[in-house]
Amino acid sequence: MASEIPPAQRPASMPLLSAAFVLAFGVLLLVPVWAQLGVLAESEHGGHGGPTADHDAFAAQIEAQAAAFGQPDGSVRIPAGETVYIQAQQFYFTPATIHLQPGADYTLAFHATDVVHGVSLIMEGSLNMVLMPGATVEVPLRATESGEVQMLCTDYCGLGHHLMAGRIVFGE
Amino acid sequence: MAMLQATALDPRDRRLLSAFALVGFTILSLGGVFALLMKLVRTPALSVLPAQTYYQSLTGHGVLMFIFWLGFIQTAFLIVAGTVLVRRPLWSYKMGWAGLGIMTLAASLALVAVLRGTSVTYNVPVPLSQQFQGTSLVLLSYILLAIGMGVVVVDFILTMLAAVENKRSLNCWAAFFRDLPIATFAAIAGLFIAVPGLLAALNTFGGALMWALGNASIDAAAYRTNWHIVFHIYHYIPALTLVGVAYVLVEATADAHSIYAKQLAKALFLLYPIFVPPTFIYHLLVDPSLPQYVKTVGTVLSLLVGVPTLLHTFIILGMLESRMRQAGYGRASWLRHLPWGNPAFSSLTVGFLTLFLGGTMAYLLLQAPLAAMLHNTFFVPAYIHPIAGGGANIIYMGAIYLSLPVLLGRRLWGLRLARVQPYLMGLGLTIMALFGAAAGLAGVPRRYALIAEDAPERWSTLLNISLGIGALLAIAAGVLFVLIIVMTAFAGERVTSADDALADLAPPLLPRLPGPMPTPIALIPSLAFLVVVVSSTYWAFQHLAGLPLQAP
Repeated sequence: MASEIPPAQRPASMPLLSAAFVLAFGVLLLVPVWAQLGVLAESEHGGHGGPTADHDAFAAQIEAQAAAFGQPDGSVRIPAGETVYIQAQQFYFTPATIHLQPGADYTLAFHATDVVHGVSLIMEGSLNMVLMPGATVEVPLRATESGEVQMLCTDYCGLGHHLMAGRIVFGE
Repeated sequence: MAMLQATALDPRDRRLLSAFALVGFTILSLGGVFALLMKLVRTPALSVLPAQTYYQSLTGHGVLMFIFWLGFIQTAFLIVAGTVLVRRPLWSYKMGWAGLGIMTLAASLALVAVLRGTSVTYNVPVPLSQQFQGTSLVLLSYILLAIGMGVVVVDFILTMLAAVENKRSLNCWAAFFRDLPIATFAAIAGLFIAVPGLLAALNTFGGALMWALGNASIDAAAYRTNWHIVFHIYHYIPALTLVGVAYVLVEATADAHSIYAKQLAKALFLLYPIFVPPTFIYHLLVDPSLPQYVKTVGTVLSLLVGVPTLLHTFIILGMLESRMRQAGYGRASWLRHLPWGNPAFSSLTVGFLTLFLGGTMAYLLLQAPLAAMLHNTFFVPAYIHPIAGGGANIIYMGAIYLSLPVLLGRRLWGLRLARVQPYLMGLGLTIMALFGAAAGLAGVPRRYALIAEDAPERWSTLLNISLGIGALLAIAAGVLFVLIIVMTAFAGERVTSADDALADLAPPLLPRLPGPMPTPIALIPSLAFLVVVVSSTYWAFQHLAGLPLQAP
């Protein structure tokens, strides 16, 4: 068994031990860092639960959206300030292509109909959400520049998981 | 090394631990094969297998490596902590064998399910897993694993109780805990996490099994939360175990002894069951059903999860520093004179270095304001592999290098290869982690078979480096390790004593000058960790603020 160095011969350890405790607990410095960066009072991370909607009610929202904003190629073009309804199911998003205005504020409402899905909105980096089946998740979104956002499912949803993709086009 | 040289291995321990080793290494090897198959889909430059193979192999790799390999090796360490290290027999060898038998059956069922195409990943998601035929087999395997491990845990507890001469005497209890080796005390402290974890696993997977068999309903959100509780507990058992093993390795390979009272190190292990359980919330930071204040409180509590390990690192490095300074080496030059060519020692140090790397990345992931940027991206496997595959696994490999010759009565085969193996593994995991982190920040998702042709080109570049170079190097190092172990078993030079078995791994013979030696170098890892975490946090928030997509 490990023997100990007798107390009288131990290194002058108390100041070093104290310093070790201070450094270990020093990770709590991240709390004032967050306060300084102003991120503690952020809006919900990963979106928040939206109004409860059953699958039929949400599907009706999707149809109404397509009727109001649908394009000949099957995409939708949605004006600023509107809620964008997106349904997720194995293995596609509806609508698959969405045109939005850069610089404008939107609320994206996601609804998964079958299994747990994830949504990643990718434009140089990503914003990620989890969609529990049957629940609606609302996410505020603004794009600061024009460009195309990849919309991928990022919570394993079956063997076609990597095929589940859509896109959001900010701009013309 | 004195502890092992003085240990005469009980033949009953030898047989039981050899059986654990045989099954465990088989599981490790199969987990490695699945890892290779994954790379042959997911690495863009090496993508030759179909997408389905990826999801099947992902399931096999996760289930066998994370759930079963870690379960087997840690249960074996528990037995060692309760027998070899304290020179006592197990309370019941029948129970030990029963536990092993149940765990082996569990692993077999899981493997059968994976080979039958049950591509459910290791978390067996609800309700998706209903679409796969072998889901109930996977869930049953988890339940049996928990039962088997539970049998050995009970055996260990009874073994410890049998060591207390007079259970009604507080003095006897005090003497018992005082005289315990640090690693054995760590095992006891770990039970405060492991036992609730096993019970939670039985509850979670029992309910899910009933649902999978069509006998009950299940709430997907509740299952997800329960899974994360079990998962969280399960992956902090390695955090505690690797530190306990480290105390054994640092003494055995460097003749370094505790420079603080052993009771301090023991007390620090009790911080794990205090700090770990409340922090499971960091797995759910983008869950929309959790109120924001819960995520904020959870994040703050999660900051404490690395504190015990940082303090143990200070003590363990201090043990090395003090020993080498007592040998007459200079304030910093002692680092060069450490036994870097001893594979058991280099596994210890490489393991801590990869743990440090993964730990700094973990501290970004557990911050709620950053979670939306990193959740389910490739940043997740990029951080977990240096922690679990690196920190825990490499340090366990060091313990295996040290214990297997004694177990088998043979000298280590391929010492030159063994000297290189830990460094190769550390290098591979480091490359995988750094380029994988960059991939995650660029938006590359995790658990994704094939990236689309119109994906950004840098995705392919980053994945090719992370997986095509880093992960393959780590797999090669794993193959090397298994080769060394297998060849030791069949071709290692037979010896008759632990002295001879460990001759190649013995610590250097160094003088021990009298007098205390301060250990300021031992503070550097904690200081470096703090600096890296704070500065990377600032960087990450700046990066987040600069993204073209914002959530106003």
